[in-house]
Formats: sequence, C-alpha cells, structure tokens
Amino acid sequence: MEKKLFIDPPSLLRWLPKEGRDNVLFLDLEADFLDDRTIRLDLNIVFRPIPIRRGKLQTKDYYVGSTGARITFDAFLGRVTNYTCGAPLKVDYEHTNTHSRKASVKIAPTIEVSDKLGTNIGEVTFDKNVERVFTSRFSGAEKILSDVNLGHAVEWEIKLPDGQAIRDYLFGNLYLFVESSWDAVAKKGRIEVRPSDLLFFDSDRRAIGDRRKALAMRFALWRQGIRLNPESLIINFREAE
Amino acid sequence: MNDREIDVDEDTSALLSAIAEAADDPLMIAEAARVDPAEFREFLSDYGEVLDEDAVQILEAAESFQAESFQLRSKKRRRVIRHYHEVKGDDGLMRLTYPGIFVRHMAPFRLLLLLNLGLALSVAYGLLGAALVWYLGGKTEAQVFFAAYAGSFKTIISLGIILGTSLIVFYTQDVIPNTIEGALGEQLAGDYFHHKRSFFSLRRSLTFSVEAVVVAFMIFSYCRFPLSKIAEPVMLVAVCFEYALLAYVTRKLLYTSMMLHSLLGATVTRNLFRKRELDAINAYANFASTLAVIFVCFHVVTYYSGPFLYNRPFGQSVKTFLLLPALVAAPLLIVCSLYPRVVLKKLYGRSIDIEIKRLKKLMKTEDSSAAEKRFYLIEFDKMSRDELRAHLQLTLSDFLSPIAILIMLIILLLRGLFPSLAVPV
Repeated sequence: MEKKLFIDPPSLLRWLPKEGRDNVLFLDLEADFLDDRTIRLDLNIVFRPIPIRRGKLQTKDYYVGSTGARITFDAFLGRVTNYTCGAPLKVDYEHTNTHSRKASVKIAPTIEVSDKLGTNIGEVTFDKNVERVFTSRFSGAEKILSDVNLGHAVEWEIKLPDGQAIRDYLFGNLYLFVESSWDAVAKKGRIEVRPSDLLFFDSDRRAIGDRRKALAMRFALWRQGIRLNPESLIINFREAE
Repeated sequence: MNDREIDVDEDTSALLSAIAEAADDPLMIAEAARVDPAEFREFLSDYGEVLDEDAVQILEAAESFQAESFQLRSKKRRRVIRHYHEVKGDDGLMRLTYPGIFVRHMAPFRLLLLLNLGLALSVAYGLLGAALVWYLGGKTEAQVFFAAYAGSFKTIISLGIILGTSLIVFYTQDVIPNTIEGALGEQLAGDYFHHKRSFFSLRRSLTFSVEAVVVAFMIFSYCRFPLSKIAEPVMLVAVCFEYALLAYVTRKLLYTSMMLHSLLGATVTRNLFRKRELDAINAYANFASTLAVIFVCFHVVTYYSGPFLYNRPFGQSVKTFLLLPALVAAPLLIVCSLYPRVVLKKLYGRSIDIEIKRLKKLMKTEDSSAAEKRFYLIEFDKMSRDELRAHLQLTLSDFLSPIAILIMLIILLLRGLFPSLAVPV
C-alpha cells in the first residue's frame, strides 16, 4: 500500500521556483516507511553560496555563504531510533550511504485548495524496493559534523573545527538520515535547517572581514533591492490519514 | 537575482569593493558603505536585527560619522562662503544694493523725473490744445475738448505715461549695448552688431512710428471723437502720437531682445556673475516693458469705453480695433520683459563654469586632499547656482505686466457683459 507524506510549507528544493532560491542552503528529502510506526527520512542539505558577479573585463566574484549550519529534526510525540552520527569531514570528504526502500511513498506539498479538485500538484513518488545511494561530498577545509540525540529529536551541527583561522564557506551536499517511530496515530514532525552565519567571501573563498563587513555589504545590496535571506528553513511533515 | 548568481551594477560593485577593503573598524566600514543612519535603521527593521550587536556598532559609527561630517562641512562651508564673497568682490553695501540700471547707469530719481516730465508734457499739450481750440472755436469748444482730453478719454494720463516711458527709453538706450559690449567685448558675433544697428536706426524708428500713426489715424478718425471740427484733430494728434510712441518703445524692446538672443552663442571668457555685469539689461527691459504695458492697459480700457460717436457706415463694429494695442503690443512686451532673464541665466551659468575652472587651477597648488578640493568645488558651484537661481527667480513683481493685462481684460469683459456697469478707471 502506497503511503503519503504531506510537506508544509512546500519549501523543498525540488518545489522552489528559481526566483525563490535566495538562500545559501536548501533542503530536499526522500521518505520511506520502514514499518507501520517508523518513518525514515533521507535529508539532502544543499550548501550553495550565491555568487555576486562583478567586473566586466576580468570577472571576480564575491560569494555570499555560510561557514556552518545546524539541522534539527523533531518528531512530535515520537522518538528517534536511528540517525547519521557525527564525524569529522576531512578535506575532499566523500561518504556513501545506501538504502533500499521498504515502501512506496509519495511526498506532496500541502496546498489549500478545494477538495473537489483532488489535486496532485508537485507530488513525488518513491517506489518500493529501489536502492538509493546517497553520497555526501565536501571539498575545501576540514569540517566537523556533530550530533546530539534528544530522544524525540536529533540535532546536527556542521562547522569548522575549533581554532581554525581560515574560514571557508560550505559548498556541497550533506546527506543525513533519520529514523523515528511514533506510538501516536499522527506521525508528524519538523525539520529546521539554519545557517550559523551569512558572510561574504572573496574569489579565493576567504571570508571578507567580520560580521560587521558582511552586514554592511548586505546593506549595500539591500539598497539595490537585493535581499539576502539569512533565515532558517523550516518544514513540517505529517503522514496522510 | 536568479538561482545561480546576483548581478550588480558598477556602483554597487565599487561599493562592495570599498567595504571589503575597508579596515575592520565600524567607522571605516560605515564610511565605506555610505551608511545613512535612517536608511540603515530601515534595513535592520526589515531584517528584524534591531538589537544585533554588530549592527548597533555600525549604526553608532554612521551616526557619529554623520555628526563629524556635518561639523566638518559647516567649517568648510563657512570658508567657502568667505571665499565666494571675496571672489565676487562684494562688500556689505554692494550686497544690499541692487547693482542694476539705477546704481550704475541712471539714478532712480532721474527715471521718475523723466516719467513726470512725460506727464507734464501731456498736461502742457492739453492746455495748449485747449488754448488753440479756444482761439479758433471759442470757449465752449475748448471746455468740451479739455473735458474729453482729461475726463472722458483720459488722454492726459495715457499720453503722459507713454511720453514718460519713451523719454526713459530714449535716455537710457545706450545702457544695453554699453553693458553688453563692456561685458563680452570681442566675443560678440556679427548678428549682435546687425541688431545693434537696427536698434539705433532712426529710419527704422520713424518707419515703425509712422506706420503706427497711420493705423491710429484710421481707427480714431473712423470712431470719431465727440468734438468740434477744430478740437477733433487736436485729439487725433494726441492719440496718434500715443501709438507712435508705443511703436517706438516696443521696437526698442524688440531689438533689445534680438541683441540678447545673439549673445546665446557668445563665448564667455570671464566671470560676469561676479559683479552682475549684465543685470542692467534685465532692469532696463523690465522697467520699460512694465511701463509700456501699463500704458497699453490704461489706453485700451479708457478708449474702448470712451464716448465715441461711431456714426460712420460700420457703426460700433470698429470698436474692436481699439483693442489693437492690447492684441499686438502687449504679448510682445511681456516676452520682451521675460526673455532677458533667460539669456542672463545662460551667460551667468557659463560664468560660473569659468570660475570653477579657475578655482580648479588655483587649487592644484593647495595642500589639501582630493576629496577636500572636490567638496570645495561642489560647494562653490552649488552656492553660485543657488544664488543665480534666486537672483533671476521670477517674483510677483515680474508678473506686473501679465497681471495688468489680466485686469484690463476683466474690466473690458465686465463692461461688455454689463454695459450699465460704469466701472471707473
């Protein structure tokens, strides 16, 4: 039997229009129902600094990016049973994780429309017994992925190791998985991805000054009508009844 | 912005570079980012970062920078103002007095004297005319003539005004070419000298005036003054003389405008704005045209409502021709009174450019930063342009001519609509 998961708001990367992609990080996910009570979510955190193109003869871009992020998974009235554990992400880190899907699952954005329409706009189906390979790749400086299990929730933090003078922006995909069970009828929860900062980097991926400079540069762009979004990306999910 | 990159214009790119290269100091960052405190507050409120510590530092830096800059600007501004008046060569008295026609060319009392002389000549003509009519036709005819001359047609005043105006124009006509040649000298084009010849041409003056006399004679002899055969020609001479003098004044003003028009292409080599060298032209044109317009209004209103006989074949239909001075001369006079301002604005504007260039050269040797020099020049330019704007700004007094014409039209309209209304003039 096919399962269905509603996502609200529909802020997954696959549903975002091009003009709405003004974040330095995005979230995408794939879902699987391991049994009647357990849902597995494979999260794809995309770190993509925004280039600011300047110069005509010799183009030299600035980048707006983040040096760290915090990802929170919260299962409402549920408990986390398994998840990606923290690890140091070495220079040119690559990690592969394979998962064979147990159930056929649809994820769909929650859209406020009349029931009569029976809309299936944006629905994505993940078929049963399909094996998926998730490969996280990070180049540049070494990073640390830390985790903390709160029982009903799990938090990951990705950041540069302490004491590192040279800061680099996050660029790449981080795949995390989390499995959680619910005794309650309603299986629902929340995922939040928050950049730890929003800095400007030069073309050599070196951060330009401190936060004050980043703020001044953001102000300069804001005056031109360019608004950079430093806010958290939050989505709520719930199983369709 | 799309999902790949942000494109910024050159200014923003330069601004970002300036911020990137600024020292890690809030004041430097705020200065590089040209942070306006009010605008920055709006930015913070937009992002909801009002209490952000870094943001507060930048905001405070911007506020202190603004205060400092204001103080610096005030000091510099005072210095610029001092220099500005030095360059202009102004002293306190010079700034208080109007360096136009009255101060430099002709005392205002002499102008009033000429105007009064015109009125006196008009009275004299009336008395002489009455004496002549008395001598040739008797006492009653003389009384009726003088009553018409001074009362019903008020020729005594209209002739007086135009006589006075013509005398002023005649005695001050050298002001225009002298002022222009004194200011621009060898830079004058051939057109100017052509118009100058026309301006002074006696033949042209006579031609214009004679044409006006012919027109006046035709109109007023057709309307017919309610006077005896002896008294009527005396009135006709007076009214034809009024037309002739109006043509004279209008022609002079017209050629003044033509001479000024030829200056638009002239090269300005020095600062004429410093001592307002061309102001006399404006004063001359404004004064003469205002007096002429007052005459036109008075003349048209009084004669249009005058007790003419209108006993010729076309009857009262000829009355419309009495409006001729208002239709022909008045618009021309208004243009002539306002046009010198346009030319002066252009020539003074070029003078300010010359002064700025001169200052630039002088400042090359000065021991101050490029930014200070630029600020100095910008301030000087701004002050000069502001003063020029204020100096040649149209004020209510400049609209005396149009206002007078408007009043005249209202009176005529009222009399046309309500003939029973005797509006005294």
